Amino acid sequence: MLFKNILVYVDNSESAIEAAMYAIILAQETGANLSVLYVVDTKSVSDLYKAHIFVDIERVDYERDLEKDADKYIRHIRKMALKKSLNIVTEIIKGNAPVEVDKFIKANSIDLLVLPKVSNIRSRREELTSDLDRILRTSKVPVLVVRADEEIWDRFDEGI
Amino acid sequence: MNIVDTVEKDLIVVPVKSSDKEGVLNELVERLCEVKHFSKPGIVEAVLEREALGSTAIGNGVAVPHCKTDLVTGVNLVIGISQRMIAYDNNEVRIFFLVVANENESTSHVKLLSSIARFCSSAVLRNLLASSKTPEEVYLTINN
Repeated sequence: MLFKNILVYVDNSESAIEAAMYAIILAQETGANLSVLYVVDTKSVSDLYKAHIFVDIERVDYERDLEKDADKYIRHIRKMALKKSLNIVTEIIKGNAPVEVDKFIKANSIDLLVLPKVSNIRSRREELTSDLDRILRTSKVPVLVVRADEEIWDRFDEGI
Repeated sequence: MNIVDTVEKDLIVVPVKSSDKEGVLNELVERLCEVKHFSKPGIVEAVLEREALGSTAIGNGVAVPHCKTDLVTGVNLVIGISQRMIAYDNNEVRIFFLVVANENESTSHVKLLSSIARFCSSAVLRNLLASSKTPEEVYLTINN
């Protein structure tokens, strides 16, 4: 088996849903285990508080909202996996995404990382600070980046 | 979601006409509502409610007023540049980033605010914005 343990990193984007679809299909076809990781970006919330953009009550309020968003996405992905009769492991972790992805990969013997599409370069500054770009650049395992594609939706819906 | 993806030329006000904090906030909300056809009074109220919790002036002549409300869709950014410093609580501000987001868009809202904070950490970029004479100049500064 080429891959035993696949991890798909998801965030609140539509491309993340497509990446999850692709990872589900891949896991099903290869027999690999699939984990889904959503990192709630508490680092950004904390940084906004330190920058005096957020006040204390906002820090709590927005963190709670971010956790609800994470829960919504993970529940949706679990339903997708269920449609394919695939057992998956899902995890919601708070913190800094590149750090948490790296920790998860090591702790769970991940041998393939699946990512949503990385944004087109419109600003070098944003590219350097994008979580997805950093995860891609610093990954110690092979990375598969899923391009947004209608074909993924058609392929996923086959046989449901 | 980041400042580069969100900035729209129609939502850049250069120069702002008002000379006080509340006037500027009203002016920026008005521009947002003209362009996006949102309802102004409720949004101004939401922005001022947030201001009552604590100042959104962050230093270096920058303010990032923001709020979440069901009166808008998506995450919206309006940028205002004043030709003179405006008294803003205990600060003076020339560059305004107004962010008004729907209640259900917190993740994208946080990402945009983080992007704005990173942008404003650069003195060079702040100075370029402050010296901009047209929305086009602001737009190009952000996109480069």
